[in-house]
Amino acid sequence: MTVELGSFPLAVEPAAPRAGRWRAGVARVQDVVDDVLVELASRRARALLMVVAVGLSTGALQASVGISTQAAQQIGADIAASTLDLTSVSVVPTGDGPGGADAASASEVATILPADTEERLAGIDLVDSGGRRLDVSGAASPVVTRLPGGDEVGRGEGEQQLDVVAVTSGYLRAARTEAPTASTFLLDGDTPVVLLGPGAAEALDVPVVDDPTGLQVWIDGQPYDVVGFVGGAGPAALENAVVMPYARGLATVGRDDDASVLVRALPGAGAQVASVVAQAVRPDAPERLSASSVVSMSTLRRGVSTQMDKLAAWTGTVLMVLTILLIANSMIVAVTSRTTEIGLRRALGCSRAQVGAVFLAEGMLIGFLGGLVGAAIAATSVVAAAALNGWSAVLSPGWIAVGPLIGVAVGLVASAYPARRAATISPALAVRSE
Amino acid sequence: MSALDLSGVTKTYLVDPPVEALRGVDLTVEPGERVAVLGRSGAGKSTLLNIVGLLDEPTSGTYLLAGQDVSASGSAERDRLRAETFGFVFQESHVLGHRTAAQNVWLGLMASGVARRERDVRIAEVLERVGLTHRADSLGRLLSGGEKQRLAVARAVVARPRVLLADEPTGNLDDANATSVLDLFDEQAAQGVAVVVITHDARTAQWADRVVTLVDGRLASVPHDVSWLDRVGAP
Ligand SMILES: Nc1ncnc2c1ncn2[C@@H]1O[C@H](COP(=O)(O)OP(=O)(O)OP(=O)(O)O)[C@@H](O)[C@H]1O
Ligand SMILES: [Mg+2]
Repeated sequence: MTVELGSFPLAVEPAAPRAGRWRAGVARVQDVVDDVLVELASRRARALLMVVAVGLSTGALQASVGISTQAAQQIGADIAASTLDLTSVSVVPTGDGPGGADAASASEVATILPADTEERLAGIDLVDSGGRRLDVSGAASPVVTRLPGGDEVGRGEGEQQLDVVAVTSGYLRAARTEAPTASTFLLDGDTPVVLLGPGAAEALDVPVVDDPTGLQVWIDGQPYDVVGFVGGAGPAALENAVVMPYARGLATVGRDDDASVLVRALPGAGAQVASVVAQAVRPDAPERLSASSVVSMSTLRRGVSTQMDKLAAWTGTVLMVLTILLIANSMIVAVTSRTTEIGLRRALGCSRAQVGAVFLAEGMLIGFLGGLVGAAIAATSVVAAAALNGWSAVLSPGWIAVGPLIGVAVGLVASAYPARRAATISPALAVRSE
Repeated sequence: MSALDLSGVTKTYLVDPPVEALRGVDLTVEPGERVAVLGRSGAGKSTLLNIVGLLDEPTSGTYLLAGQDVSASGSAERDRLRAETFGFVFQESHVLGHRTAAQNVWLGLMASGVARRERDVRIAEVLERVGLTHRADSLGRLLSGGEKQRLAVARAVVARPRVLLADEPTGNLDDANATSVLDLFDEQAAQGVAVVVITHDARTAQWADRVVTLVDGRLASVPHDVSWLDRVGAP
């Protein structure tokens, strides 16, 4: 539109066509952006402070959420790696007592899991390792003492209860339990030996040494040589266990209804192995066995990471509210000190909306720049945290883009009230001379 | 058709007690006419100028702007008319100190609808006309009082208004600077712009084509000599 000099009457403008109006809208937005850039450039220190404030708060939020998410993912991955490929096989309880594979031989104990379970497992493709376990303490009540006729350990008030567990070496391999390989083969025999979990060793007053030759514990009045120590962590949970050969445990208990088999599949083959393991171990009666994945640990850890997320979100939110207040305060002061300028703008034909838009745009621009700074801070922190913990850093572009978006939202909220105030300033009052 | 035509315009500020700043003003200004408005302090001169410039609304009366009745216009319409029709110069130049001279003039184009690519040309042109080309990139706060006021005129006329409103534009200036500002107003008037100037200053009154005075919230035309100045109590 051009204004003809001295041409009266005022021509009433025809309604602008759609495209023209769109172009005018774009030009208006460009004007506001230009205007804000000039303003920010001429008050650099103030702009910089606000950008840094937004950067720190959005960065803190993003970094803490990022790090805790990554931690959760990492823990999840660790758990998945150690458990998702594990299958636990248990005996299906029936009413009619033991009717086992080896029941034909009267001298031997009638069992449901055949004596060659480990070989049968090894025969399945995709199986890494596997073995049997029988919790002796659950079925019988073995008495464990340090010395012959000594005080029973693990039964007294406040004492850590001991678990007597019978396993084969394949079980420990499948559970990835730390144990000296030189002595675990003894678990597959019938000699009276034990390995001790760290808690059990302490309760029994057995020193954890590299060579435990000569150390003994007594179970039900029989001496057992201590041949090594097992780690307590992992799905086997042997912290307080006295681990004896599977065959001896079976002899003590007399039946294997409560026994289980732990099978580790090759990575990714857990489900396949679970579907065939019963058939492989008891081809004559696979229905006596039931296989399921081991998942309880990962469920536990997921709860932990949710709490971390909550804490991170709270910290970031508090920082963000502070930043919003800081920016809002700074902009209210700016609106007051720019009252005359606002009056001038109105006199020059700017509408209320255009005056308000200048302040909204300023807030959004500062928020955007601050969000970029924050994303950079967050990305750096996440990478640093990953490096410190030996994790692999995961940074998705989508996650980084969230920073500027949060920043813009912060700027918008912070400038809403100042912009409203600027828009409602009366131009007639504002242009009066002081 | 007249550029401005006010009849029976009143303005009462609803404070306690209410102030009847204007009690029925009739004023007609033709395109290209230079009108000086005189009156003692508190007579309502600035009030009148704000109403004429659509910065404020009259309490009653009619206001025809180039024949169009704007007494009851909505705020969007008033904003548009202000951008298209009026240029303002105030006693204090209201030059923004932290922006350059050119950026100050740019503000005058912000609501004007002048295409962005044309703006630099316009700004250069108008800075040249007020003799500030060499100061285009100086910060506003570094300009002298006279330069600031010429810059304010440049900002007021860059969008080519049809009515130029000035509230004591020479009040803070020495003779030479006052003369150069009035010369700039002359240029505008010569192009058909109606110029309304509020003043206390005898020379500005003499410069005008017509002098009106505000007494008791009403306008009276006075003879075009300045001996009456003493009687209305202007300094
Ligand atoms: N927004 C307002 N609210 C209340 N009263 C006002 C307002 N603006 C002006 N007035 C009053 O209206 C009267 C006219 O004020 P105005 O500013 O128009 O005077 P003026 O002629 O411009 O004076 P000066 O020559 O000193 O600038 C004064 O009594 C003033 O106190
Ligand atoms: Mg005044």
